[in-house]
Amino acid sequence: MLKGVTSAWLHGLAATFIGLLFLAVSFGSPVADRAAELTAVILEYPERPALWTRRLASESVAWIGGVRKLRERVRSLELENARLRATLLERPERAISPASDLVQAWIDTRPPALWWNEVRIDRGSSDGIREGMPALREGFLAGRVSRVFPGHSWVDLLTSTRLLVPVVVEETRDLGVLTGDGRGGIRLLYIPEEKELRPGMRISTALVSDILPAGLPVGKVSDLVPAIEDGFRVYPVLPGVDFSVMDSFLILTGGRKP
Amino acid sequence: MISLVALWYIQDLFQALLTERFLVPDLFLIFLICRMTKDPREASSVIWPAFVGGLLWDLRWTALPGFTAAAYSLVAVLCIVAWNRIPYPGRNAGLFSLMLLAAQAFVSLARFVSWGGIQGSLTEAFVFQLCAAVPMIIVMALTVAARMSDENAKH
Repeated sequence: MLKGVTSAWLHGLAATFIGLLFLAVSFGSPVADRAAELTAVILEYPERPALWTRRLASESVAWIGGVRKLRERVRSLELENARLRATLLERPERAISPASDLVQAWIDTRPPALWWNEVRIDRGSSDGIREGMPALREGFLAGRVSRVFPGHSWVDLLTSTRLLVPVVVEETRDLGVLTGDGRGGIRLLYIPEEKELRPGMRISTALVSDILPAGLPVGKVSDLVPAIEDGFRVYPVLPGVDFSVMDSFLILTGGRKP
Repeated sequence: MISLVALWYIQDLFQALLTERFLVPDLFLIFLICRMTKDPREASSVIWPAFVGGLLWDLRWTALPGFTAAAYSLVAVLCIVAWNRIPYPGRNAGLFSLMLLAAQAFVSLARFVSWGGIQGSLTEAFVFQLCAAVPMIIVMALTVAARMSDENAKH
């Protein structure tokens, strides 16, 4: 028995040590990223029954939600549509190209270690997804596509420290940059110290590139007290998306009207 | 071997089903620890599968390659040593269940601590993972109890 126990310790400690060594050398390494991608690709087909079941459950819950909820939603969308039409008449440069389309993408991986940074979706370049495309959830910007593969892509979330999104405060037209804190929070940067924003002011994307259209709603200015860093106010932002409860996105493909 | 691959796949399927909401219990590790009771001296047939299963789990789900592999290996060796130290007449299903629960709690705690501690929704995920492991633990404990009863009958 003693021999068995000694052998167990040797094997166990060796395996633990090798595991920790892997952890030390692989964190953030591109080789580890490639290995993870390869594992995900290999497991894509065996995991399909689970993904189908998830979709079925999600759609069933949405269906059971009832007609009343849908009617309310339709009414609210009609109102929003009317408001947006009016806005477009005033600001035609905000119109999104008719060639644009929304591709529904399901989240199939959300690594816990990168919980607030990125998620993997089940759509890729073969579905028309390109890097930089905005990912929407319930009409609000949730993130941007960062890496694209033929059958899947990765989306950087707004809560990620890696993502910087130029935005505008709707009520004051102040421009700023939105970034995450990597812990579930979002901050609005570069608002001059002398400018004071009120809680509840709406924030949307600013006109900066063809692939990320202007005017996509992002969230509201929070009622928390802003910090002051290097002569600028840093406002906490209340996102329109609940980043704790997400199972799919709409990816806005195509670009802004030329 | 096939049963190990099947258990890993079942754990993976459950995680794919519940991703974003919950963490599934470590069914693969629980099954491996149960296998250990067949011949507690055959450490390598438990520890290295635990390592490989953990590493695959890391590559698929945690983005921290080596973390689960190390945790599984360490828990496996601790269980083997602990089980070997218990005199044969003292080994029973209740004790084995406690050992499995402790193993699951250790792996869960290590995981949650690496994400910054157990607070808010992580507490719920931790409690869910432990509770969800209980049915599997009961099944494994009953299996071990049946096996020990057979062995006693033979002797």
